[in-house]
Amino acid sequence: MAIFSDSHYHESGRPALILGLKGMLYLELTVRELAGDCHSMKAAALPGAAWRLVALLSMLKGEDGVVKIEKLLVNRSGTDYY
Amino acid sequence: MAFEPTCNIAGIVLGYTGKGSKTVLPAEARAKIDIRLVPDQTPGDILEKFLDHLRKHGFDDVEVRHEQGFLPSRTPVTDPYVTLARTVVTEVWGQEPVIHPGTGGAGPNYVFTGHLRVPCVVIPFAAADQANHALDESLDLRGFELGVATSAAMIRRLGAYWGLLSDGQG
Repeated sequence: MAIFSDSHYHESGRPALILGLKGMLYLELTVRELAGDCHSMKAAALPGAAWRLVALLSMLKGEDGVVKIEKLLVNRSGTDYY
Repeated sequence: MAFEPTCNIAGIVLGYTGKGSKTVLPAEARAKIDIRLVPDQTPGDILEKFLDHLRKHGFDDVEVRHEQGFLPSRTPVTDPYVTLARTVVTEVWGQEPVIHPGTGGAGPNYVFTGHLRVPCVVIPFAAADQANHALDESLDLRGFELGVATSAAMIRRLGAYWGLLSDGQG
């Protein structure tokens, strides 16, 4: 077996055993709209990288806190998790 | 928290954030996100679904860099080694442990459960207010001392279980 220590024991002071951990997909997203920063007087005509990133991020998760990435909750055999 | 995947914005870098005002239109904006996976999800499969989601919403020109990916892990509550760990922890701490089938955290347990096919049990020694990954992270003395005692007892018990030590006392 493998044993290691991480995280914290229970808030009440009771010990704990943790049997499962999540996996991870860590990404860096870069939005590039212009060759360089420019005066914001031009915001009337030029695309803004900041707004675009905000738009991208806001379609990843709803205001209800539910992740909106399609099929995130569908497993590889095509059935819903829950 | 323990059973659903999450999507967290870990950091955003863009534009002018210094003192006062600066009327600038930023050329570039960057964000780091972590998507935590639950059993039967793989980083590769979820990355494909993420890229499909971007394409469908017109963000296919966005650069996506894959920084890190690893698999979720579970050890069954019914595993005999879980029973062994539970017995040892109860003896050392004088209290039954709270058993978490899973937590919101992510870690390399899959290396043991997935590749080596052995059960993996995490026994925490820090207090709930340890502020892990934050400033002034701590470990209280009670946890430190119980941690040493728990580790020693686990090794003794495993030795006895595997028949390496004849009396089980080490």
